Amino acid sequence: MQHKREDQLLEDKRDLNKFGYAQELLRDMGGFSNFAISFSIISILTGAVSLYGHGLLYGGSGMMGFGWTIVALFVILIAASMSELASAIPTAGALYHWAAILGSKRWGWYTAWINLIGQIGIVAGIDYSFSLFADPLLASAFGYTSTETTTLILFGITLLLHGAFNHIGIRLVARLNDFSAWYHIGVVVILVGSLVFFSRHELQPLDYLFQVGQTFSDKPYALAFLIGLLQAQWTFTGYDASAHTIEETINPRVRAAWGIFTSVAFSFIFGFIMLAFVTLSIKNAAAASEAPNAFIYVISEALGGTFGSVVLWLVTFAMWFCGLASITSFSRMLYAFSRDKGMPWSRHWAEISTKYRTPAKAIWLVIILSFALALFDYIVKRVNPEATYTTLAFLTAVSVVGLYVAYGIPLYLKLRAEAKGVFQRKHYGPWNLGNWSKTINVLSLLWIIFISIMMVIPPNQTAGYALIAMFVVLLIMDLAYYKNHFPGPQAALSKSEEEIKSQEARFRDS
Amino acid sequence: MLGLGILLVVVTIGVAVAIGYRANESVRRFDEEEHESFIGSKNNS
Repeated sequence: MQHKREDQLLEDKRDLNKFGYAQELLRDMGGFSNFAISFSIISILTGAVSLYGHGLLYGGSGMMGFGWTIVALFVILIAASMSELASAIPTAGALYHWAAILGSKRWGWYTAWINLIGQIGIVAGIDYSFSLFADPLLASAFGYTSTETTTLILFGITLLLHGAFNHIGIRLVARLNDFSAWYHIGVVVILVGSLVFFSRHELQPLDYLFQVGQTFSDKPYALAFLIGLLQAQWTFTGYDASAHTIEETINPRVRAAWGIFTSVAFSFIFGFIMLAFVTLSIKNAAAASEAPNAFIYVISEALGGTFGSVVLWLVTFAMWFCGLASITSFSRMLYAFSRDKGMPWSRHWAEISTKYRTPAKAIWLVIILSFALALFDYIVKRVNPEATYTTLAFLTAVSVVGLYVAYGIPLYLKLRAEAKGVFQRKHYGPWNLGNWSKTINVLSLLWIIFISIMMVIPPNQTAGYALIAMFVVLLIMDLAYYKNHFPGPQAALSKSEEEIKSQEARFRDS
Repeated sequence: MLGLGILLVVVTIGVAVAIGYRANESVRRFDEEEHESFIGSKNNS
């Protein structure tokens, strides 16, 4: 058995070496761990719960039945398309690397930066969600008043903790991610069981879950429903983590591909069950949609204050696990991009700690960038207290658009490369969709275009402005410097076998 | 709308199962001899 594992590790290392990269990260993840990291980042207990009020406000109860399922259907297609690419090109750069070699290094450079912007949004959004939930709970326990400032402080502390765990405890983080997957399933079971057996009032009839036409916003229903899709669409983000941790996964061409796909599929199932029972427990949807936190309101109404608080603590811990995993994923993406010198001061961010086998500096850069994004929004709101959007909606819209555009670019380039005959069937990895591939890729792209527009229309236009501003900065950076100075991942192909070996030797005894 | 909602859920699960089945078949039939790594080109800029 040990012998088989060693053979597989050697084969995986050789596969990576073909791209000109040394095996620097510790390859120790099995199939379940790879699935667990994406399942933890999708985290049905973070996205679907923290934006529950958003979904209910805009789409009413039908958002949980129809909205969740429509989004899941298309995200399953996107995940399948990405799994196929991860199987064919198994490197930690993932989206960026796929775009660079299917298109050009400049396509890759833009994909990386857009992915990076989305990743900042997702890390900030997740840890901010945790703080939004934990701050009132801590405030009532320790007797202080929860404000936007205390939430921001708690957000900063959470980021620091996640940074420290990721820096010094790669094996601990991996075990925590495994635990997190079971924890998410366990909490859904407890939550659903509690609502079924201990709810103070009768559940709504099943058709309440698919009731459309009622919005609690001032928008016409069709538009409100589309805006409400942010709840599901944000939940289904971050599953590229299975690809970013591909250089740490054993037999990644198969396992990481399954990790991407199954994390989305199982999140749909468990998320649907959870949302269905929470929604069927609603007593007064109008009051819930007006509550500061609709999910807390519905649970407390159904289960009572004490039981409700216990469930809320359980949900809050799930968000903590989600934040931990998202920083792991983001730091690997940053490491891979810096390895190809795509960032300012790349040498630092591409450095792997020989003691901990983690991209330590990249991890701390992730922490700083994520805090800066939330701080920016905090300052904007101080300057303009009349702002009607929420910080969470801003962060989540930025991450949805950033991530999905980055998911879409390599899919488009794959279709283009196939049309030109550059990327052929012989290049597909073991996990592939055969002759279904093209249709699934096209449907995925159409959904990405549609959803990217939907996520930045009012009331989320601030996210749209922020994304345009970031894109302008990228354009300036590209034209001023990177256009002529970014070597791209193609440069790594020039590395000799000896160079790769000597790079790997640094980590052999650690 | 209940019927439509249930149909949508069933279709979504069906699509996921069909894709999973298809991918599993591909993994089982994969022949390393016929495969070529797509590593790009040094001139690909």
